[in-house]
Amino acid sequence: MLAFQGGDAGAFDTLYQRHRGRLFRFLVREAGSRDAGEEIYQETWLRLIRHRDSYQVQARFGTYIYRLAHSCLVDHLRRQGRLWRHEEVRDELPEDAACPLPTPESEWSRHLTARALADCMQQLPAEQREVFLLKEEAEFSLADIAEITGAGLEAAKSRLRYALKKLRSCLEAAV
Amino acid sequence: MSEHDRDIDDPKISALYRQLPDEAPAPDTDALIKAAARRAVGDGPRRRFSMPALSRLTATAAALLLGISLTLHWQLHEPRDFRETTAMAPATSEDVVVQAEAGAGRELAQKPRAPAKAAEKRKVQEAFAAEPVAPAPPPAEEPASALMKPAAPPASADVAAEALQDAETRRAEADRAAAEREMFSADALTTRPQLQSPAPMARKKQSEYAASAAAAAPDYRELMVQGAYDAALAAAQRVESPTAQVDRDLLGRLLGNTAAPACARLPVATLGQDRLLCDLLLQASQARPLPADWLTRLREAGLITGEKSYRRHAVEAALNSSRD
Repeated sequence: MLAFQGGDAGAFDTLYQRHRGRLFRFLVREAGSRDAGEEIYQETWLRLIRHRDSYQVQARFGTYIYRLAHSCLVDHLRRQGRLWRHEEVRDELPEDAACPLPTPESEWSRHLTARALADCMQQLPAEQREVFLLKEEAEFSLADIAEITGAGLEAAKSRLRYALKKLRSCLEAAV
Repeated sequence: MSEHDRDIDDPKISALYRQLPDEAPAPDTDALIKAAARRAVGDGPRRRFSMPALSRLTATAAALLLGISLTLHWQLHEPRDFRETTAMAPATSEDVVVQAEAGAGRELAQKPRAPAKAAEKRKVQEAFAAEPVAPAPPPAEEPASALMKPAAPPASADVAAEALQDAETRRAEADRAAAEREMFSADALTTRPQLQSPAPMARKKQSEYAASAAAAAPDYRELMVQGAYDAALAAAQRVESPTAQVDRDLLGRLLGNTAAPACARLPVATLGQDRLLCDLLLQASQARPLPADWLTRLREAGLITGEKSYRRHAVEAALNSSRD
């Protein structure tokens, strides 16, 4: 990143190649659609390029880019009129509001379970889903997750705990 | 509390997560972002060293181009004056022409000829300064040889002969001028407009093409919002994109003329919003009663936003048809 700040475009290509896949999947799965995720993904990188001079050498690049992504995510949801809250109304929806599985309930293959997990992830509140994805997709520690999301360490743990609990319930209900 | 507590770590869920498809950004997206980075830094430190040389090269090229443009401009705008002057040499002024003719002693159309020639000369100049297709009066210039005849008082027969010769010369000149005008007219489309104004004809044609292209391909999403589902489906057939494919399936389901189940073809990556809508419309088309507050739930869950209003309209139409 320092080399990129100094004008080395090749250094940016290296950074980009290293982080593009995981960041993209994180944003698409967090946003809930490829279109929205791709839009936020582009905005994240463009924001990094525009404000490259504000990067501090003390920050790790990984947490820096995901902080930018988090900020873009929040902006995107606000533009859509959706609030970034800890607990959302979705928790109170009855189960028949969930996305129905495309196959008969008697079938239980690993592929279908992964699809079920994807469906269940979309039912999580945005903050819990984000913490889950930062852990599973980007493999950040809880301390890094707390830094990226701007929440405290305990808040990050709590969100992850709730997320896993809901995912387990959702997956069990899908069987 | 350790991070390895089961509350915050579930290997089974982690394993399931690893089975999700490995999505990646489109190549166009990669190219766009990398290009933005290059533009921002200007291709790196190396460019700083080559910048002075590049500036000199650019300045030299610009100067050459300017010189060539000015030369061409002068040549194209001043050709008549230059040639007329050459043809009339050494008579380059009206006074000299009048004096030469007076010295020759010609009476037939002599004195009026000088001002007439000047007027015609002005007309020709104006004609070439105006639109190329505008007709220009035939120039009536005499060749230099006629003007340079010795100053001897001619006989009347000689005067008539010379007048006839003048007329023939004028006709020949007029024919030549007409041919040149035609040549200029043909070239005008490629040269004159560029010299006089920045391609208004080309811009007009481009805007006409764009307008006709836009008129020929209406946005199928607009048609969906208007409720013209048949027209929307026809327009969507012409659009090649994954989103258009999903919308075509939705429209087909709405209109009841799609036999294949659309939702099953959706890839795993598009789970969520599209799948839920597909299931909604599937049920609507199969005349199953839908819960009355589904639209409200979808809106609250953020699955139908203002940005995708055409989908909201499609869902509303499906709900209305199922209640009928």
